[in-house]
Amino acid sequence: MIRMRAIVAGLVVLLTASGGLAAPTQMEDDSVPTVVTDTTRPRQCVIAYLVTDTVTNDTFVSRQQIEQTQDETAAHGRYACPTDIPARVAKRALEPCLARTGDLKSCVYGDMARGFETQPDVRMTAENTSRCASDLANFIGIACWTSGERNICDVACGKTDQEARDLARGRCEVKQQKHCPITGAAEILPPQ
Amino acid sequence: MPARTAPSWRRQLVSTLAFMAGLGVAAPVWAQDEPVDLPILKPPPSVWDHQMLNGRPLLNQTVSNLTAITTGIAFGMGPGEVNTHMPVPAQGISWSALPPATEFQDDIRYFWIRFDEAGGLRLGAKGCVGTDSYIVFLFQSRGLFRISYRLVPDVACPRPAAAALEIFGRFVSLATEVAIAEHYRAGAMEIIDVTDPTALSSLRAIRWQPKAVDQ
Repeated sequence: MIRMRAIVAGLVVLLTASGGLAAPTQMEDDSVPTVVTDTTRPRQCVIAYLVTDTVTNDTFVSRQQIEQTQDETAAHGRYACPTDIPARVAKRALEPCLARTGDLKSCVYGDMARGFETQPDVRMTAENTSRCASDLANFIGIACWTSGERNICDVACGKTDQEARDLARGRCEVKQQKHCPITGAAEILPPQ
Repeated sequence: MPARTAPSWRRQLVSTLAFMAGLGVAAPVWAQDEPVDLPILKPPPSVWDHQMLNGRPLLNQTVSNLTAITTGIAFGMGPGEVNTHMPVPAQGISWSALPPATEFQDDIRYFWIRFDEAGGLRLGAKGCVGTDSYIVFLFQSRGLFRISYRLVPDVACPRPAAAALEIFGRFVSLATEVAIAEHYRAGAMEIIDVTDPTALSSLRAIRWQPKAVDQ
């Protein structure tokens, strides 16, 4: 009985003291709420490219977000992407690689033509098949085979990480006529 | 009851596919072997206006994005200040006491620490590195302008490439206005240079190569 009284008394002390120990709520100190991101807002169009440094095999997802006009409406939480992408956007997509390499010629798009291993040049890659749009897919995938030390790759878009890898692998094996066991995938939309 | 046979169109399709496979047109079937994961590096995104005429960085990054990775070390700090951020600060670190970095023509000086004693600067890399791996801090007179990871292979770790990619990936997440990360190889070594974007281009362009060992 005495022990029970002690427990109750202890709880009363803790409850009354907790008001003084607790941090002020955000309303009390008039600070900006910590949650400022509206996660229900539709996502703007993002065109994701895969670009590769052919010297190191480093592969970058280069995300280009396109602002929508005021009168556009979203479908399934995403704004539509333009069907025609200007060359300047594709050129900009190479920059994350170009800024981080000593040899500017080593940066190419991820979707490579058959024979790239003998002619490792950006002209043997295609920008339009190295990109995926956020209104049509969730992931961009890549699959490669290795020629010496160099990855020879192709790109595909998918609804899931695995689908993007599988489709890229299928594309690589048909296009390159090689086994393409090296695969990767990235989300098209950047984290909010 | 007559035996069931495939319709003629199906037989035709099968023979056409067989013919295409003979020409190497159809998707080849490969023996299953171990899949290899290719990590994808994630630089900061860009944003374009609706007409796609002008692009700019989507995120506004600052030096705090760099110091969050480098355990508080920022470009421009003097050797003594950088030393205070080391897990075990060394004695007598000052500009006048540092050796010259001879790969530069300018007066560039450095100190280094072992990678396995670098604490948070190892960036949680899980890939293996050789025991002789190290990190170099390079200074010009106005302060730190480069952090250089030099990952050395050894018998226990013949390819430190996975660790290099992990470390490079952390710095790739920074805008090039904050830090420029480069990944390259020097012989069997994996190098990641993280350089101050405001440093002179003549300094930024220099890449380290190990000196040839005299026979």
